This record gives sequence, C-alpha cells and structure tokens, in this order.
Amino acid sequence: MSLNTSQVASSGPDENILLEIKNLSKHFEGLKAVDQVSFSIKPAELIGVIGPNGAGKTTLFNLLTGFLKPTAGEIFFNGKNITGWPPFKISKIGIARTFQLVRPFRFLDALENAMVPHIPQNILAKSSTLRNKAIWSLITVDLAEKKNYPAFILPHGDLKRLDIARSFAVQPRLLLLDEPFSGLSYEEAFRIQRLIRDAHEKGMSIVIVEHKLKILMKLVERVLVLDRGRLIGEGSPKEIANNVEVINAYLGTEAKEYG
Amino acid sequence: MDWREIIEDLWDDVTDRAYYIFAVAILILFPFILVTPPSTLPILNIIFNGSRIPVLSDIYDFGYQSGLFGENVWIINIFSLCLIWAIFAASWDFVTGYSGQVSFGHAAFWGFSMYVAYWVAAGFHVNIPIIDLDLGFRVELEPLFALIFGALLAALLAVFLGIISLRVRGFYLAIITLVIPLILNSLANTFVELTGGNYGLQSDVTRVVPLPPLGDLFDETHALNFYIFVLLVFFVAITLMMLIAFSRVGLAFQSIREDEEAAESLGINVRNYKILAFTLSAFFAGIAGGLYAQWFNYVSPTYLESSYSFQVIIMCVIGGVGTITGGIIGAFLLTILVNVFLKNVFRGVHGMDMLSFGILLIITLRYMPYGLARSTKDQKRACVLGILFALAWIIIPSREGWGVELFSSILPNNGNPTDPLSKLISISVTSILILIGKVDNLGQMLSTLTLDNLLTFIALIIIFIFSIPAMIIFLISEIIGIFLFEVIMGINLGEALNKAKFLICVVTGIPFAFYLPKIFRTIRLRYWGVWPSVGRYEPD
Repeated sequence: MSLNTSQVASSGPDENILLEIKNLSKHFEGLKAVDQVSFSIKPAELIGVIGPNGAGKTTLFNLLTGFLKPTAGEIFFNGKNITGWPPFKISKIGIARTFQLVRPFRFLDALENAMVPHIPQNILAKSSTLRNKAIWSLITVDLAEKKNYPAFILPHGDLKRLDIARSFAVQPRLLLLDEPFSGLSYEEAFRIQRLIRDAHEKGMSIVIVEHKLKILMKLVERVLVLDRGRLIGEGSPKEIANNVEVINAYLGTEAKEYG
Repeated sequence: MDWREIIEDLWDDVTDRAYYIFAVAILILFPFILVTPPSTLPILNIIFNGSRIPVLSDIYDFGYQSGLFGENVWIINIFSLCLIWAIFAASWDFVTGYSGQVSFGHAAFWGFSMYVAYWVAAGFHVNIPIIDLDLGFRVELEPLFALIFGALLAALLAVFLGIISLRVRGFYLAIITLVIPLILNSLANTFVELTGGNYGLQSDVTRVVPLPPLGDLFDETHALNFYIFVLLVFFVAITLMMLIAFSRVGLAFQSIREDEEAAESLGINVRNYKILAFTLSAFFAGIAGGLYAQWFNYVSPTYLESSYSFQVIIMCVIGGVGTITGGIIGAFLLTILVNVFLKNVFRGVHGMDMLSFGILLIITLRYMPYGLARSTKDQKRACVLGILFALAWIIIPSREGWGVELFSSILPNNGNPTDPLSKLISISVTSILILIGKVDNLGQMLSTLTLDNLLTFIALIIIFIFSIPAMIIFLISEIIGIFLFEVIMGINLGEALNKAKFLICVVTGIPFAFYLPKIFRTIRLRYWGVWPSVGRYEPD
C-alpha cells in the first residue's frame, strides 16, 4: 500500500500542495498592487491574510479567481496551471470566493440565490434535485426558514451567511473569504466562525482576509502578511505577532494582544 | 411592517393568476361573441356547433343594433395588433428584464425578420457564381415556414451581434444596440432592388392567412382567422418564453442581471448566457415582426426606426420590467389606449400618442416603479377597476349627448356635443390646445371634443396615480355632478335613467374586481386542497 501511494505521488502532481503561486505580480500602470508574491497552500489548511489597507489583499483574491489577469507570474491549482483562466472555469475547478461587500442577487429570494451556484453542475438534473440541494445549502447556514424571502429585505448578517452558503455550494477545495466578519456583531461573527471551522474539518482549504485580528488570530493556523503588494511575513499567529517587520507595518504596539 | 406583508404585497402570485386566467378566457372567447366562426376552422365549428356563444352574442347583437358597439372587424383587428405587440414587448423583457442587457434597438430584429420572411415567402434566388458555374438555388417556403425562417435568421443575426457587442455593459451596450437598427435602416434604403426602398414591399403571395375570394381585408372571416392564428402563435411564444424564464436557465439570466461578477464567481458562464438570452429574445422579436408585417401585409424601412424600439421599452416599463407578463399588460394597455381611446378622443391632434406615453411613463415611474405587474395589491385592483370602468363607459353611452362616444367615428351619427357643459369644456380645452399650438383644425376640434371624452382620459390618468379610494370618490363625485348638471340644464329624465345603467355596471364591477382573487383562492382550496403559498415555491 505504502509503495502504491508513493508511486502515485511521484507520478501525479504533488498531493501536499493544493495551490502554488510563483512570483505573482499585478501592476496598474506603475502601481504595484501585487509584487512578486510566492506562497503555497496545503490541502485542509486554514490561512489568514492580513495587511494594511491597499496592501493588495483583494487584488490577490481577484488574481486567484480570474477577475484580474496577472502581469507576471503563475498560479498552479492541484498541479494545473490556471493563470489567465476565466472566473467561471476557475470556479468549476474548485476555487470559490466571497466578496468584501455582500453581493446577493437582490431581487431573487434566498432559495433562488442558493440555487444559482448549483446550476452549472446540475444543468440536466431534475428540478427537484436542484431545489433540494439549494435547500440543503441553506440549512447548513441556518437560513432555511427564510428561503422565500427576497434578498433585498434580509439583514446584513443573513446576507453574509447567504454569500457563504453560495460559495459552499460550488463545492470548492479552496475557499477565499474576503472580510467575512466585517460589519457583524460578535454573535453573528461567532456563527460564521463555526461555519468556517466545520468546513475546515471536512477538509476544505480556507483563506481569510480580515481586519478583525482578535477573531482571526485565534481561528487560523498560518498567517500571511502583505504590505504594499509584497509578502513581508509568513508563519503561525504567534510568530507573526512577534515579527518586527509586521509590527512596524501593520500591527503596531498592540501586537502582544494577538499573540 | 412585517416582512411577510411586504412580500405578500409584492409577490402575490395568486391575485395575479386570478386576473391572468380571466384575461386569457376573455382573449379566447371574445371573437366568438362578435363573429360566427368561419367554416375554414372545423374544430371551432364542432365546439360551437356553427354558431356564436349564445347569451353573450345576443347581448352583443343588442348593443350593435342600438348603436353602442362598433364594427366587429375593427375590434378584432385591434386585438390582433395587441397580441403582436405583446409578443414583441415580452421578447424585449426577456433580454433586458431577465438578463439585464439593455437593448435600445430591438426594432432591428423585428424589421430584419420581416424582410427575410418576405423574401423567402415570395421566392428568393441565391446567386453563387464560381468562375463559369452558377451554383445558385432558389429558396421558396410556405408563408408560415417563412415566418419561422425569418425569426431564425434574426436569431442568427443576434448571435453575431451578441458576440461583438455583449463585451461591453450598460450605457455602452445601449448605444451599440441603438445604432444597429439605424444601420439596417440605411442598408434597406440603399439596396433598393432587394428591399423596395422607401416604397417597401407588398404582395398577397406572402400571406399566412389567405384572403377570402373577394379579397376584402376587412372581411369578418379573414379578420377572425387572422386573430386566431395570432392568438395561437401568441400562446406558443409566451409559453416558451415563460418556460425558459422560470427554468434554471432563466434563473442564471436573472443572476447575471443582479450581479454579473458574483454570478461568474459561482460558475455561471456569463458571456454564453448573455448571447443565449439575446438570441432567444431576437427569435421572438422576429416572430412578432413577421406577424406585424402580415397584419399590414407590407414591409418597409420605417419598421426599423427607433420609435418602434422605444415604444416597446415604454410598454415594458409601464407593465413591469423583469416579468414576462408585464410586457404583455403594457402592450395591451398602450395599444388599446392609442387605437381605441386617443384616436377618438383627440382626433385631429397629432403626436398625442407619444405625449400620453410620456405622461403614463412618468406617472408609472413615480408611483409604481416596478410596473403594473409588480405593483401592490391595491394598485393592481385599482387598475383592473379602471379597465372595467372604462369598459362600462364604452358600453353604456347612447348615440348623442351623453356618453364617451369612443366609437363615434364608426357610428352612423357622428356624435357632436349637444349638452352645454360639453361645449363649454371643449371650447376651453381647444383654446388651451391652440395656445400650445397642437391643433390643426379648430372646427374639427370643436366638433369632436366632448365632456366625457375628456373625463375618461382624466379618469384613466387618475386611476394610474391613486388607488381605489380616490377612484371611488372620483366616480361618485362625477356621477353626482353629471346628474346635477342634467337637472340644472333641464335635459330630459330619460337620459338620466340611461346613466343608471352605467352606475349598475360600476357597482357590479367593483366587487367583481375585488373578490375575483378571493373566489379563486376559495375554489383552489376546495379542489386542490392547498393554500396558495407566498412567493414562487410551495411550502414543503
């Protein structure tokens, strides 16, 4: 058995690396939004990305999901070079994302919102199958009761969870969450924390961009720090809290609180 | 306010369904009230046993003989026109309301389809000269298949244009689509041997519904045959559009309308879905165009003008964007408004149709921004009431003096205002219109503008603005006012009694409009055993 697995591992792509980024750069006419960033993500890893405003965190997400095309560098997902793929194709291969601001389909109800990500996978399936899948993804985020409510009357907390439900529905291997706790009360944030932990336990790799460090540092296993487009620090939350460069760039004197 | 109440007000499908079923029943039954089914339609002969619908047609006969109704053919033709516009409006709604791609040039597809259908039906020789060989062939199809072929080619044009233009969004897309019909228009004016230039093309060979032996366009049989043909096409087209719109493909379209980037991040291939929506929409617009050309039996570059594109947009906005039914409602309202009311109320005044479109559009956007189909229950009921009210007003008036005289143009006695108040009002309104510079012929204006014409027009606008209470107050005050004037002016009591009929119509109409949905709910509960749910999905 052990011989078999080693053979597969050597012949196929490296199974210990889910996503690999090599020297990724994005320049907007001289402004280096992302500059020579390289890192890799293992399967079932929970990673936080922090950095001051304008550090290139959201641009990094846009590059990974195909909304922007990199100026230079390459992105490998599961051994495949996905640099320059269109967003819908990247979503199909197993990378899902949420947006910084909630972006529900406002005039559709919650159930229809949850149905949309199921459409590409179940284009020929029975309509009841599609509906049941959508209801299941609403149940996982405790929104099943409000399935008939149009999104424009749902409160912010519900919309945040609806966004997460939609991205879960893509059945991603890598989930990119852009500020999942912004604008939420502690109770609501705790609910989302629980969702993230559950998904992580099932083996999903999750990358979180967040400014609420008190929550983030306790949640994640590894932290990446970006500043002015460059990767200035990488390590466990404790290491980051003691990293001088990171303290100067972002954390400031309160760093010990997060350690 | 509770959320549930808001949703019930906005998405009350049951109330809608009751009205829709009622409207469909009217559409199907209505010609058989007016005309004997022709022998060319054997199925209908079996159903109605070669006669008209018994009681209703008797009522109609009575009305016709006493001069209350106009000619049958005229009304049937107006309804055919309504159905054609309804298909066109629904097709626009499909691309703009459902997938959010603003098209300001839908006339391109309907005009293009008209020309193609005409060429193919009349016989078109395709030249393929290769050195010495002529590999050309002649295309000639039955008119019905030519109609479908025209629509298919319009869809093909849409694929081509979609690939080019759907890269851009919003404002820029609007400009590109605005230009397309202009280009086609100038092409049609350039290639005169193909298109007939400004004079257009005309031939009886291309008719789907053949003319009767005498060749009379206004023959009852011909009008009815054409109406039934259009009605069938209408039902097929609308059913198809609804099926697509309510399917998962329609859901994908809607997600693109709501948020393109979010949809793409969830795996929706936005570009292909956009092109698909554009193509389907162009196909149905092509069908509508073919039918419109059939109605006039005439194809010309004027059908490619942007006024057609804008008319269809106004219809959809008034009816409600993002609901296929909204376009249909808007098409019926505006087509009847123009062809029945305005052409009679403001005879001799030009440009009144576009003016009233504008007024209606502003009022709709102010008071029900999501259109009639997505308005609140009260507004819906007020609109149904308003339509009943207008119908009552049409049915009751006598030949002269009192009454709307909406059909006065086709009545033997071309109604002039006899009562003093009508004359007073007509003079004052005419003077205002002269000041604005809207009137060509003073004498004509004076003879046609009556009190009730004007009141109907005002009533229609009030109905659009306010809900039921305001309308009832308006009605009652108006009836009292007219009665008072009758007494003051000393006109005979028989006329006043005649008006009682109108009152009865309204009094029976109000509960009907109010309780139709409730009756529908009750019947549904009794025979299906389910309570109608809120929203589009039944509870588990």
